[in-house]
Amino acid sequence: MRSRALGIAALFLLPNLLGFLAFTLFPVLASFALSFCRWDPVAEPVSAIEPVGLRNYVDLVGFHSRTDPGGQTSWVANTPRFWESLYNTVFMMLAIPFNMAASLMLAVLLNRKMRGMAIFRSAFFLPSITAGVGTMLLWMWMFNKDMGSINQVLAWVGIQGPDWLQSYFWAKPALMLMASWAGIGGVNMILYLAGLQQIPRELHEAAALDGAGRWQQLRHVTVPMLLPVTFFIFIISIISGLEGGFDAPYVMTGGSFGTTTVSLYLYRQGFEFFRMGYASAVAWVLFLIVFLLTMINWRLAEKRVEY
Amino acid sequence: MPLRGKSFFFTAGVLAATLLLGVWLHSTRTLQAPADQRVHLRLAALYTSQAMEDYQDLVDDFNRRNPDLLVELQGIPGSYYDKLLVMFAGRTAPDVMWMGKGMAQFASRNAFLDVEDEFRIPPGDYYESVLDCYRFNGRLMGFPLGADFAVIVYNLDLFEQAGLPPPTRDWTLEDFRQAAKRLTVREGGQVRQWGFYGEIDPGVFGAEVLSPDMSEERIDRPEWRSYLDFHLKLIFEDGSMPSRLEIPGAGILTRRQAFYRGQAAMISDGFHFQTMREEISDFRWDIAPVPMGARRACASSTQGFAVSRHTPHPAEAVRLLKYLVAPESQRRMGGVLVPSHRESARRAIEDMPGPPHNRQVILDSMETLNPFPRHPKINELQQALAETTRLVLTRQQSPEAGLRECARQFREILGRTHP
Repeated sequence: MRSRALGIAALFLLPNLLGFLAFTLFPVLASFALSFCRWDPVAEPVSAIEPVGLRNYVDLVGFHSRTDPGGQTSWVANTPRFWESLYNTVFMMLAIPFNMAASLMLAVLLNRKMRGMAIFRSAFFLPSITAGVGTMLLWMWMFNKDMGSINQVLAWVGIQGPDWLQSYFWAKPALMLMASWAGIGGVNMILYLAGLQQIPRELHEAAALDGAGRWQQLRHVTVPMLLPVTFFIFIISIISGLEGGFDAPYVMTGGSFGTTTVSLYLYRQGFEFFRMGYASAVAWVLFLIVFLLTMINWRLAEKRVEY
Repeated sequence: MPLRGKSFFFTAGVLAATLLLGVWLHSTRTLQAPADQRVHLRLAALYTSQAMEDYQDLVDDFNRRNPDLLVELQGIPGSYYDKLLVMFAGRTAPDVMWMGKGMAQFASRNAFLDVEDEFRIPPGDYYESVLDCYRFNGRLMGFPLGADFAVIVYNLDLFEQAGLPPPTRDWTLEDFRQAAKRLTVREGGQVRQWGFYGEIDPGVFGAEVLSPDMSEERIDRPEWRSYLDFHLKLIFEDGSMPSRLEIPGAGILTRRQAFYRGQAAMISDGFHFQTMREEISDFRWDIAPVPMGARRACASSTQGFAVSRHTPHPAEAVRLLKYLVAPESQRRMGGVLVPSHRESARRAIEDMPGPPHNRQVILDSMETLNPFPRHPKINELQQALAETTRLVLTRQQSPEAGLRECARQFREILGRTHP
């Protein structure tokens, strides 16, 4: 009976499993194999993929010594562009803690019982479900140096706004600002809202009886009780921060002015420069970074987070 | 809860029926094929609404004339070359495909059929510089339909208001700069009208990207410095050109929009005269050659077609290619680009309604095209150069440092033999 049930379950799972094998597992394994090869998809048939060992990885993350005309020897990266794109990616992830804190605050505000709350909740969730490129184009208007609304508001208080999207200094913060707008009221807020509604009311009541004010209740009851949710959001944000960041730079700055992220760098190497083996190596180095960071997070959170 | 009895048989029946339906649909499609004895060819082209209509007309005409063939036109919008790359990787590339700036990347990787022996080209009948964009190692790997290029488009009314005569054929960079200054109008410290919005091709300053054999960079040179200095002067010294560089889609006011609104007296622009005629009704405009510097040069791009080397029907695909790029077809496409066939170009330009009235500029410009070198790593090189130009012309990097860094990147890209 049990084996029959398993068979039926397998039958139902089969379509999804086949899709997973064909469109996820096989490409993942193929990209791992390709990362040790040279493959130009236009020039060669698949059978002519040339193994190059660790060459792609050495090119990507390796360093070499260089002696300048003054006789000074220094170590320089084999591919400075990769490190630059990694720096850009990490820089843009600095917004994560701020976004999480803002999402929490918003969730706390939207957790109250009052008329019309559903409208507020929908309004704050709206940015995360609107078409990405459409909102990016709107933000490009807002960031415009001469006619953008952001600089016009700044002008009212006597500040001359920068050329947001064409400045090495401001382009990254501009993209971070836009990502925050979409992220604060999005899925993170919903997760926090769900977490807040799971906290037993008695805890807040007990704290209030003990004389705790709203801030103390938030700090000593709400935040600790939300740690599992916070940890989950943090992990997901780290992963999406490292792997994401493609569409906004691609559409809004073309990757110029220090906004090329690792994912945009990867795309260019593979699809614009036809270096599929190298691009695969970038993907696996990125995976390794994500994996290590997640492991560190788990270790750090193990003792602090209770489920 | 496990399924039992009827539920199990019902589920199994649904699955089996779905499977059978799939097999039947597939078989009906397969069975239909033998009834159609025609050779099917796929033609891929970059999707733009106007060009697709023209291409579809050509394809319909070709299908009528060749009853043994059936060509299906596939318009690919957006990332055209990404899609082609994936098609080549999956060995599903179209038989014949539109090729623009990607020609160098694909042809240098032996993606196309050598068609040198298929075309008998009488000397002087075609613009050699355009044909060269489709030649690799001296062999034609595709064939150009025509070219697009940047000339100076100017607002004649604004020239007259500024008391300036229209530009002449021999105007120099200095004439151009003075005109841009005179045409710039300020109001309350703000520029109301820019003298110029665009770019003068580096070739005008004698700048070259690579050595003739394409093995060495030619970036960290005085000619490139002159090119950058000239534009820096226009932007920051004269204030006659906007400081923002035009990144496609990134600015509200593109150079063409600025020109249409009378906010730019001159722009550098390509063969979009049909659109301009439709958009501009409240002022007179015309075109002038790019000003003369160390030599004559204008930025250019080409459009043409190539045959995939993987096509199972090479003879038929070449027949289609020949039709698509024949002088008659080129004349029919004359509204969106200048034919590569000289006589067709001359007739297309003659037949073109005005403005522009100074149409000789178009034919003259065809003799001075300055395309980016057809290097296999053209995308990487172009990206490095564009990045440098953006940083220098927004004064976020000095010309010296920018060119030095760009040259270093060029050497790295050119020197990388593996992978």
